[in-house]
Amino acid sequence: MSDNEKAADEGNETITIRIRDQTGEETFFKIKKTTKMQKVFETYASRKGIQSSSIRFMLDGERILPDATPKMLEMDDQDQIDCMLEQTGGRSF
Amino acid sequence: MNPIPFADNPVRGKPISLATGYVEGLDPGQWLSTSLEDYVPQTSLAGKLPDHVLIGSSNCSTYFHTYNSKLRNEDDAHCVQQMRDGLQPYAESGVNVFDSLRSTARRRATAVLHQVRKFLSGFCFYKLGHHQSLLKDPDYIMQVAEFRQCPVQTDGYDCGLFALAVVSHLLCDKDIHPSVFTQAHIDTFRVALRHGLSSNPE
Repeated sequence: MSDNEKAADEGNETITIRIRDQTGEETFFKIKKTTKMQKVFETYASRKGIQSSSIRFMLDGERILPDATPKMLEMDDQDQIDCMLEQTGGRSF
Repeated sequence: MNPIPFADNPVRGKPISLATGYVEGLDPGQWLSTSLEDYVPQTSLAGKLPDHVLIGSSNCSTYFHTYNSKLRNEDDAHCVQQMRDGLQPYAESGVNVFDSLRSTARRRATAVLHQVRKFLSGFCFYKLGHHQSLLKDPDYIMQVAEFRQCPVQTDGYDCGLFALAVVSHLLCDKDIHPSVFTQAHIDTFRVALRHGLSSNPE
């Protein structure tokens, strides 16, 4: 297999990732390792009926940028992303 | 391993883009969104924050709760290990807690502080001998994290601005005490920030 073929093969490799929300509910996405996470975030937000800008997505404690891909993040099959809904600050409890 | 930005520290973390409509959170009587509250220090303090000053995201209450819940879940062992490695450098830091709501909402502040304590014990201080003491003795946190007196808000929606004001004062090496600024200063700060962000977001 040539280097070009190898690169193409890696680009087509798919993994399943899980997005877990604050209630513990998980949503699964099967995506290519080269898919930008922005696409996942927007699809997730759309499914949940919320704006993608109102959610933060974290991997092992670090925020994920929309331009990142699973390959860049060194994600493996079944890896989990945590999503946190934006809060409004200043509330007196 | 590279350090993980402490609790999604906005100044050392990844860039935040401000969505349309977020500036409206600075209108009178409104609550600031956490994105806006993180955007301001990120754009104004980048490169100016001394190494010894750690700040967490304004969303960090949720952050602490999310990751603390992983400490008791075996399925999350890999994530917990990754975070412990990335958060070890902060074990060398002292922690000061400034809470503008403390006097009006002691019960809530205690609940938040418990999450902070659990996070420090479970991640940052995990490899230190005294990490369990943080959990066993509620007062032990005072030895590593000091609950400092600071200005207290008189309304129910200004804690984001109080937080920004405290960070600004810390950067100027000013001592923080209950009267270092007042609610009136914050009211002015809100108007000025609204004007500044509307005319020049950067």
